[in-house]
Amino acid sequence: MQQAILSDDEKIKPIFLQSINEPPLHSKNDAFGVYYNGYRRRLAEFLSNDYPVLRNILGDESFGHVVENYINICPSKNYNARWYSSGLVDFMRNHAPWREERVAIDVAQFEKCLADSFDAKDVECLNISALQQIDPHQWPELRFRFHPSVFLHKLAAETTTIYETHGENFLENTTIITNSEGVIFWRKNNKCLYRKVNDIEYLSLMEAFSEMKFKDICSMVSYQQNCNDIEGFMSSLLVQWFNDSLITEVVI
Amino acid sequence: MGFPYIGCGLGLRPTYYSDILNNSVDVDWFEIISENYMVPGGNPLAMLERVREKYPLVMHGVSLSIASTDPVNLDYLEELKSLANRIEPMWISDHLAWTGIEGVNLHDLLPIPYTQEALHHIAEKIRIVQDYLERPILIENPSTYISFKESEMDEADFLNEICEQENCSLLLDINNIYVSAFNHNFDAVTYLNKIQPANVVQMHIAGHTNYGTHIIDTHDQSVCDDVWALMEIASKRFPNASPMLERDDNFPPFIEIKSEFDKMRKTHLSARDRK
Repeated sequence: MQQAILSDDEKIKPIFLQSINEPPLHSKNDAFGVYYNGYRRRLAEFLSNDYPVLRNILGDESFGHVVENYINICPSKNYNARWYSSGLVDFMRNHAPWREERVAIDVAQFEKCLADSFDAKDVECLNISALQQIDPHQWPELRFRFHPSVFLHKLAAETTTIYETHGENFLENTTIITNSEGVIFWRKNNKCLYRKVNDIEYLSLMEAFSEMKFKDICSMVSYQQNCNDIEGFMSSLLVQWFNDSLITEVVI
Repeated sequence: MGFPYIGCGLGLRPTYYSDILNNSVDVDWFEIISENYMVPGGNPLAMLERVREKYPLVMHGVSLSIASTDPVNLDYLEELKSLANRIEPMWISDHLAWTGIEGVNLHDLLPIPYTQEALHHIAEKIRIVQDYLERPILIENPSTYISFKESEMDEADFLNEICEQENCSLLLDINNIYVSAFNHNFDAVTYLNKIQPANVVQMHIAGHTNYGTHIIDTHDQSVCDDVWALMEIASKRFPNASPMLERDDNFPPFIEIKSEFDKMRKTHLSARDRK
């Protein structure tokens, strides 16, 4: 039965239909169609619900095409339908013609990050007072651990705007985008949040995620950006990270 | 079996969180879809804990796949057990169905042939699940759209036999009986009368979509008159079974769903009294 549902091979279904009874008011084929069509409709609904802006920018026909291909090539392997749609971004990256469509992929990535942030593991975040309890002489040695809901991505420029406008006027206004924008996603008080980050903050966050020591992040930023007040600049970033509830642990 | 009668329940759905949490809703308990809360963290679990502070809960799953020929998914069971330990439900239920084989999940409740071989297979898997969860479970009769030539018994007999062999209980879905009876042309009341009353712990009632030639269990409509009538019969036959109203799509305002719940409660209680 599973093969008959998954496959488009016209030879498989008739073999399966031989094993079932004739229904009273319609055909075996129609009765089996409840399962065959239901499977595709259900998965398409999951994807449509999780990627509303991607659907808007691609249009129903094109979105339907990517969904149909994804369902045919990638049957669900997880017991929880929640995780089925998370594979769509990688699918688009790895399959023509979508792998050429950077903006569409990045809009999908944006929506996936919000979904992943939404139900990421709960871990208590530290506030800035945690830093005040540490001897300032030790600050250069500090490393940081981030909340599981934090995701950082370099996306096509204007991805955030496209998301915020639900993809309205996307076709008219968008040409080939070669620039990028950094975006951080996280959850605070059970609400999913995001904001654009500039190149320096993006780089600092990347290094902080890899648990680079604070002094090394400062050196790296100082090297990258000819900044006179590196301590002040980095302190303000750190305060923002704490205030945003991004940090769960400070390791010396 | 030791499951208590807990009154009348309603499906907990995210669209109704604020109605339920911001008001004192006269519902005896809520049923959750287990998988919706088998997530690492965030708002779903936060909401669930707030509801749990005010109401008893029961857990109803859709992915146990008890009839699959794949081995029992222990990762799934571990997460299910972990959620159960967290919210301490009155009981846990899932369907007499399979959702896929060889690791694939079709996210549907697929039908089985009612044979002795299937019965022994499912009974063994229920035993494994109950041992792992350290509690008996409830099995729900599914809505079906096809039936198999090789079936050796009807669904009611199959369910009675499962309960007898494995000391599990039933979640009897009245709408599913109605849907399957229409789709396979059997008598729903005869089905109800075959089910052993002592096995029935919970009942479901829901809406469906009638396409004339077949009915699909969509849970996106109000309960129809025929199903109300069937529920009245069921409440007389199974007075100790706690009924619950399901709605999973095309959600009306909470006041409407509460009104339908009140109708269910009234129908159920008056049928119990007239037993």
